[in-house]
Amino acid sequence: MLVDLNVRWPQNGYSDPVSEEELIKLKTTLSTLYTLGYTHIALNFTMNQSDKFPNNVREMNPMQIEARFKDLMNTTGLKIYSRITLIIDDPSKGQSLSKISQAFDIVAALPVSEKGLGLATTNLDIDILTFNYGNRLPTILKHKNICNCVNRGVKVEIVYGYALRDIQQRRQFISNVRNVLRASRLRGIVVSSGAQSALECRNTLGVSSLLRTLGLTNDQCSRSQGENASLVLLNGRLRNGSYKQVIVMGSGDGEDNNIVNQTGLPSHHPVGKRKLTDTSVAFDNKKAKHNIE
Amino acid sequence: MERSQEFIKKCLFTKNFDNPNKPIDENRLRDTLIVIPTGGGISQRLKQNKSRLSLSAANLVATDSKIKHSSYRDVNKNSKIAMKNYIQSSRKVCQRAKRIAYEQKLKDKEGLYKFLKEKEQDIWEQLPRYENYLSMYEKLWLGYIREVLGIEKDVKDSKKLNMNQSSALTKLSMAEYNGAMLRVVKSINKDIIGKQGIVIWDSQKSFIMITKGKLVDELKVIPKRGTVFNFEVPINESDALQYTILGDRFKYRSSDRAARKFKGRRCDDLLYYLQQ
Repeated sequence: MLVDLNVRWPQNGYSDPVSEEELIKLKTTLSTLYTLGYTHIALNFTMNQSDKFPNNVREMNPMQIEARFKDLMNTTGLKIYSRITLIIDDPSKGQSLSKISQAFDIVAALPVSEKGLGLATTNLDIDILTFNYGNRLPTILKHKNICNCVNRGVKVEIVYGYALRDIQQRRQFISNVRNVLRASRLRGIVVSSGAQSALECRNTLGVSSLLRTLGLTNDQCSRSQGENASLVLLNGRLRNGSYKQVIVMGSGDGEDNNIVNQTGLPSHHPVGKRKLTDTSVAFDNKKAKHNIE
Repeated sequence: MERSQEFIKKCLFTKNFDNPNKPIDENRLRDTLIVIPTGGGISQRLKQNKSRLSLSAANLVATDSKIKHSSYRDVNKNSKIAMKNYIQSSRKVCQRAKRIAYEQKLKDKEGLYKFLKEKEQDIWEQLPRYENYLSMYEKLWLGYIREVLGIEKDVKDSKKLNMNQSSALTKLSMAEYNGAMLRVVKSINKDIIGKQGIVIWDSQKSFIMITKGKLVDELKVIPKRGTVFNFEVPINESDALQYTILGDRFKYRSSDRAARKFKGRRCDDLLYYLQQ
């Protein structure tokens, strides 16, 4: 599994619609990622936490992945997920995550203030902690904060797209990433592209060579794109499709044999064909014939 | 002051008391009240009556000899030992039966059982039988789980099923799994993937299941750690609701589980769930 958890969804809020051009651009990005070997991609929709969300859960997700990318997914076998990134500034203004997280596969937090960082690392039920690597970090990150957060199961994201845009951002990116790596003690790191166009995609080798210069070891590089990132997907899936990670809806097998690969949010009844029971087992407790011989 | 006391004595005490000079007699209690030990009062007597009325095993068998477990801990320990012995003995018997099958070149269950019945009576008697436990699943557990989830007897159209999924999941996390038919979907141990059987005991760290085998039915102790189980609740002849248990998060005894508040944790240990 090679996972890219951050491809920008070309929309800044619920009010501005997606134009056809931008969609085509996004599709070329996705197919570029496919040729680079990625198998699981999450589209990232960024919102301010204080902004207004629609009341209806169905309208909350603007992507309509099933309708728009069905051809792409069928022909290439890519799995596409929806992700929301909440910019957290003032925690008091925010609204509850529980409703938002129902509509998206992955929930990420991007704190821009010290208070927001405190909230995101301790309380919020999120999958990813990310930062705006193009600007200065909100505060000096502490081991305790970030490691607590990682122990809770939240992964820390590094977005390499910032390093490819302009020279000012690149400088900031390097110092920020060094900071994050120091604070997280190289645990629970996830790398994603944050690509806005097809030119900002890189394959595994390119990403790992960048990360190695920043201080990750070789296996941590591959893990941050593979295992850790897929765990984020699993965490998101279990949040929506299970009761506290104990009982999961669905059979967990089938042709695809993988809970993460089943696209679409599992809100319907997990109805399937009966498999477990033997032919001798009658349905409504009729006396089955036992041959105890 | 004196006048008023005079008045009280003359007008009030003379009417009510025998001796107006001394209204409260020190010996007045002696005539009527006698303090003797009683049977403990009404409440005690009622309690005794109640306990005599209620049914219990000791009451039914022999009313005079009340057998009370001196220490529950001992009983519990003994039952565990009995369980362990049963598992070990049935495992040994299965091994012996398999060896016999190998020596006699018996390839199917019927042939083996027939041979065992004629030649090795003790093995034949001791072999655990899947069919014995099947009614535990069919008659007890299926009805129970359908009652827990509130599914009607036969839902014709599976799409019309009316159920709240999240509350159903909560109920399932508290439900009883003794007697359930489980299948191992994924595991760290690749050898146990695909094993399917009826749970005869849901212990803290493992499911003890009876599985149907090609030659003999076997008892298997399948650890919960690192294993994903699948079970289904049939709603009509062809369809069933399918659920999955993550064994890693299920490591509690069923009695503890009922009152437990589950918490989502870091899922780094569930990586095996994605691979394979």
